[in-house]
Amino acid sequence: MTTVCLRDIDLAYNGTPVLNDVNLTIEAGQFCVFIGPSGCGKSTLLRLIAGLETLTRGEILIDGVRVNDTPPAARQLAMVFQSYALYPHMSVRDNMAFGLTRQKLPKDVIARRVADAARILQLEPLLDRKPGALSGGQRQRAAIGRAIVKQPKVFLFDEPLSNLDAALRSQTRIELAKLHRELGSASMIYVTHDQVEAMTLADQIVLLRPHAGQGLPSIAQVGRPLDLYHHPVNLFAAGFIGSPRMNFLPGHVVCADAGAVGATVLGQPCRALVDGSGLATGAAITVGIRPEHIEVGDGPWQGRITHIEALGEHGYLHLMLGDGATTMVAKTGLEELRIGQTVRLTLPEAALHVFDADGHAQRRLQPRRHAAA
Amino acid sequence: MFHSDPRRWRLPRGASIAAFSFLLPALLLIGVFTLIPIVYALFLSVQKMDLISGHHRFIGLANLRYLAEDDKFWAACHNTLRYVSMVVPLQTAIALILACVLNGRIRFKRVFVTLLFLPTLTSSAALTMIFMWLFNNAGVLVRLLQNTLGITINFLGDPAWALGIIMLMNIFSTVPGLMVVYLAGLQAIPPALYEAAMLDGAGPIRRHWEISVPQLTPITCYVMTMGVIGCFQLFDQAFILSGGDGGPDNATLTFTLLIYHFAFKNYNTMGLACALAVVLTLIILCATVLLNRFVRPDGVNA
Amino acid sequence: MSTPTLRRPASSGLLLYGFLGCYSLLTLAPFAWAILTSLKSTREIASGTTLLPASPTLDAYRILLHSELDTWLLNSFTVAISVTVLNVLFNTMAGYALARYRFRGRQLLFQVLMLLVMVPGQVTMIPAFQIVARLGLVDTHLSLILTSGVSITYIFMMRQFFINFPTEIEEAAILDGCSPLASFFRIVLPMARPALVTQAVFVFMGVWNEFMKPLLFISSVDLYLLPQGLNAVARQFAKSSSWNLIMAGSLLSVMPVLLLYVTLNRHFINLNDQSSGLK
Repeated sequence: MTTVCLRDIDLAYNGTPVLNDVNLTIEAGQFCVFIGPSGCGKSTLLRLIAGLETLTRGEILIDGVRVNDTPPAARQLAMVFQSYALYPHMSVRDNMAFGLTRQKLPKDVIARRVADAARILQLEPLLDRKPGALSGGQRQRAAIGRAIVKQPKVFLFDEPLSNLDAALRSQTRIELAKLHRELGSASMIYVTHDQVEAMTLADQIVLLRPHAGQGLPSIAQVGRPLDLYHHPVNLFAAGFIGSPRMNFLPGHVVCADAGAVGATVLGQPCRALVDGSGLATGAAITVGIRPEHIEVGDGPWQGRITHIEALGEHGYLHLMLGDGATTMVAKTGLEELRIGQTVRLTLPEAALHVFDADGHAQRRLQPRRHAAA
Repeated sequence: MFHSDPRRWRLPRGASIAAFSFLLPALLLIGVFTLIPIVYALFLSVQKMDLISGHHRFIGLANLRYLAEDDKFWAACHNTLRYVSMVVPLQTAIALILACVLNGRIRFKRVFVTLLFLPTLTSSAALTMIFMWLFNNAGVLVRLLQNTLGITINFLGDPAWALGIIMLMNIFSTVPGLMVVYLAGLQAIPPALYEAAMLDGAGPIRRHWEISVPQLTPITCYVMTMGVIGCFQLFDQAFILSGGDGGPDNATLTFTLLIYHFAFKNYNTMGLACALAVVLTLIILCATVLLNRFVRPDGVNA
Repeated sequence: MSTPTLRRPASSGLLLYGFLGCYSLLTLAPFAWAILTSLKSTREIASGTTLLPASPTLDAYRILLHSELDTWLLNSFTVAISVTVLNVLFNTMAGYALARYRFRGRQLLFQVLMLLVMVPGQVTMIPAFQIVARLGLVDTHLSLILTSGVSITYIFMMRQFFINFPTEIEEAAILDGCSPLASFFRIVLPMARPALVTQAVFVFMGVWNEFMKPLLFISSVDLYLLPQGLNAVARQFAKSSSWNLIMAGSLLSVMPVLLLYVTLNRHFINLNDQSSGLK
């Protein structure tokens, strides 16, 4: 059972920092997803683990052994590339066998492994075809097959589903989850920009933020999917996870203690069930609430509907608040609502997130006690 | 997929060794047979060298002075200028027109291109001989002219015509290659541009003039540069047509032929040959730079 | 997305075909005349009155092939194939290294090569002759092979090719445990086949048709390459009006390259039919 450990890793390219202060442990057998906006360095981090990039500072340890100087092929990893990177002039069988022949394994071992992988991925009828004669989904399975036969300690996936169409993507997502369960002991590190993939596949999510030279660590938050959803530790995480995005409102602390925070937000009084110890009276804060937690119909807040997105059973209202500048998005069932109408809103105190002036989140208490949207 | 950007791709240690071993054979051959000769040419260009004794002495710019006063040098200049001014525009224009025609809805494209490629595939020697026979005093064209128009032209022996024959030969043999370059360029132009022009009422010639020509300007620049460089390097046809002496009356004397004369006809003008070679290189470099500055567009590609 | 086919009047189509047809005929005319000449007898040519051969004969070809021509053909083949192999291998390796590996001095090397490629070949030939003489290689085929062994133009072409080629497949090979050398020969070269074919055809053609360099470097008649040999015998044949022989020789020299071109040109001349729409 393999652990991958990244310590104090910096990576700069030609003086431009790409990764900063990365510290991460990926436990044995875990499905770990790297997610973040483009340019955050998630693919670079993956390639760093693979040995295809060189770090500026820090250590990579696999099973406690420092592998900074170990060549990629000796790290016992397998990688599935975004473009699959199958050898175009070789058949699927030869593609899968190539790495094993490089390792000088006996022919019967190779044949057996290839057959096993082909069976798991239903590649048997395609073994003698060349990649050019395969569909996108088939090529992807062949690329996964090439990884499986190496029996690696860690699988690396670089946005493997991004080249597939939507229907195939959801199907393959499920198959990947099944594969992870079947292969049991191997860890999987998976890079994606798609939140749905991250939330549904991951045991652990690593959220990376783009490095704008600000000196902040590249990793914004690490945790289980629902932890990132319910307890984002900073503004960036709160704003990234969840679609549509969380609404952010500026405000000031009126009173704060370990059990609640009272604040004035856009002139309205507001109470959040968060641990406010550490917040001074009058301090500037940002209050966050997800669209799906706003209660539309009654309440002290009001907003004018500027746009409606109807999605079937529910829809999203785009609202302009009283001050004429702040906008919000709220999820609603489809009552008879029209653009231009004013609706009243409740922001349940258990559903609010509070962030201090540095963007750090205050710990939420009883996050699940709000009316289901 | 910026991480696929090969400029960002770095290999683990040992890559430098691999890089150099890959480069070594090429660098070795280039070093010995291109770089050193150039340096040697520069050195010899300021020497007077006797090939028999191997003795050489430094004479500074005397070689250049000799060239400036040499009739043959100026004859070569005149010939080359005449040649470039006719051949480059003609071959560029014909190649462009052919490419535009071929890019349209023509069937049997490959057949046409193959047919047209014949002169390009033929060695300059063979092509020269074929043309020499064609324009021979006892040949078909001369006889035709005599019978129909009653005039006799000694194509190969008349200084006024000899260079013209070479020009004709060269245009035939270079046009197909340039045409293919233009074809590739034309295929990169989005068809939507032509359709928009058509909707605006532009006829085919106007469309090509307003769209193809401007879009192809970088390629035209390249084609003309290559054309000029090629013209300055003319040797084979001049040598074979004139039997090696650049006649008749220095009418087919090119720079390279003159260099050859200096290098091998006499035993003590090797330095002169190298001086002329250096001058030739400088002229080509200047022409290239000038042409790039003159024809360079201000970013036309949509 | 397919391009809707533009409907143009039929007359413009005829005009285009007409133009192409005329130019093609113009191009082929000298060759047609050469073919006709080569099928005539020497006496016919001397009398010089007929257009078509009275009784076509292959005598010219027969005479030529029994002369030194077959030696020269062999020489040309040997040199051309050797040079092609060396070029394709070394140019590709160098282009690959320039495109993929980052090493100190890479930019400098690239700029030096750019400078060198601008120097015309004729200019370096004369002093190269001196060096070849000093190496004792004058009048050998080796001198031709070595001096033409690499071509900076094609190094640049391969460099451009590799720059535009995604690196992921080579990275997969690294992860599979391939050394750079093994990866180059087993993965990169097979993928570069179209570029290699292009190179091979043009290099072969260049060597086959080259005149000046063999003229300088080779002086023994039995070591002549084809263009040189043709030129040498052309003078004597011209005096005796044996133009049929000269034409036969010229045409024979075109055959191999023509064959090569016809069989392989689909690899390097891309004639996308615009009207079919798919890009």
